Amino acid sequence: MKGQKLLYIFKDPMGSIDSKVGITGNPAVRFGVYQNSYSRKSHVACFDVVYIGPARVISRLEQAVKQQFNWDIDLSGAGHSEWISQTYTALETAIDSIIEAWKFKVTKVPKRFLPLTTDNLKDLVEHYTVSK
Amino acid sequence: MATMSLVAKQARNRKSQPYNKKQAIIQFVKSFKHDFDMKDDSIDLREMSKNFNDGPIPCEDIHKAIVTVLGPNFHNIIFGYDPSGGFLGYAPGQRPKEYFDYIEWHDLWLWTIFQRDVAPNHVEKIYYDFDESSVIVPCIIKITLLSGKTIYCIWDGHHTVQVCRLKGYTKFPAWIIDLDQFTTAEIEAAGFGDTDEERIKFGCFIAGKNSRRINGLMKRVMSPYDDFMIGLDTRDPKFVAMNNILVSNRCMPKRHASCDGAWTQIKSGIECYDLEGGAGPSNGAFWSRAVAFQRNHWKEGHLVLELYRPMAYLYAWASVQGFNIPASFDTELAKMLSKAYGDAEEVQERLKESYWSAVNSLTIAGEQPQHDKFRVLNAIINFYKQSGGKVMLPAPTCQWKV
Repeated sequence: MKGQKLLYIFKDPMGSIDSKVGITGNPAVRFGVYQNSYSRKSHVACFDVVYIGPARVISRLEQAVKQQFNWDIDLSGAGHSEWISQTYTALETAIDSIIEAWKFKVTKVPKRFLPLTTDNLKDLVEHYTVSK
Repeated sequence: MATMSLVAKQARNRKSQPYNKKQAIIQFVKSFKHDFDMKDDSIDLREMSKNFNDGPIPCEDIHKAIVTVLGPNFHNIIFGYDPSGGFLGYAPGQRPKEYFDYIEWHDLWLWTIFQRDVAPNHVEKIYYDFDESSVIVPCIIKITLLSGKTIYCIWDGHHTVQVCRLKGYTKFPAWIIDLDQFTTAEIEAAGFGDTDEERIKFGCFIAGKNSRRINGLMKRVMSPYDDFMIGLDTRDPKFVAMNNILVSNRCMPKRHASCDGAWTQIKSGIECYDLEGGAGPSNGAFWSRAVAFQRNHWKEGHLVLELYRPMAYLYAWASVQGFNIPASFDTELAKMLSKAYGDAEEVQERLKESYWSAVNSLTIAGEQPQHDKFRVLNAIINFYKQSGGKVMLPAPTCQWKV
């Protein structure tokens, strides 16, 4: 994962259609943050769709995504949490289009690693460390 | 018990929701049909005007947008102050402290302790662009000297006054602060004494402070973006031509690179538009092709300066050297670059990194460019040739392994 970051999407575990998009260079810590909000018995924190790439490219991808969905982000800023009023599959399609149109050099993580959780995170990290 | 409980609930003060700037802006913009950006340094009024049929916007709506950005300290400010009767106040039977008047030339003076030097070339610049409808009223302080002589000293608009003189004006419009109308108590309250000499020092203090405020401390220089947009909206032929090039490539001038097709580097775009080829001025031909180079291949994203500018120079160099680069080259190069590096920003970043890596490892030959546009231009030429490209290009001024 050195120099790499993930852009992830996950659906609202409470059942709304909203989805969250974020980036992280340390997914284990990020999972911990989310998992602290609810019991693992109720829901295991996970990422439903994941893209991996060089840190600055992933950062620009995030900017492009937020640029496109700017007015769909209902609550944002300090003290709020950023959720986009779109299903995670709609976001996935939109992000695939953005990547193609901007020619971002990132990799979409294969379905066999998804949903990504703390349980299979090690496999993903090993896969991309070796393949890199 | 139930009643007590109810009373307790009523007595509890609900904390008001803390101000959240981003949230406040989103809510404000949502009240309009067309979205527009609102940031500390600019509210996109051109986009906002689409909510008013692209016409004038009520100042009250702009005011609401401003206080939304500024936050709660500026909320709830209501009308209640009418300055038209003299905003500095005046004693009954006397003139107001400030008023508009026309002043004779021989009564106008400049006191250097609160005015900057005069620039003849600036006077000349205004002279050749002079229009009587554009004269902003100069600001002047009326001072009665110890000798009893009254003089009118300019503290803002001196260059304009000098141009008016060159244009033959005999009287000069002026917004006057009349030092003689201030009471001794007011002058003492400002920290000055009660002598006539102190009164003059007080006048100089006011004029100097205001001059610095207006010309220095509070001056907001017009940004290249605003200058371009005003030129475009008022039909400056060059800016109209540039905008046509942008529109044909699904681009638009923007203050920030906040949307697809945003072009933000106005001065650099003008530089590219003005490039000359072998047959003289290009009238934007090289810039147009360079913009298309990015947009035809990288379908989305803002225009990337150090991609379109080096490409414009590449076309210009070839033209000056007597040959044209075929259109097929653009597609070939774009595919090579995106395959190697990805998005347009990454392309220019990686090409620049390649340059500095070669410089640091002393593996660069030739004259090292002093500007990024030529570093990237050389990188592109080297990259293309090293990737097996066959189209003839101008020779690079320095070589390294990209």
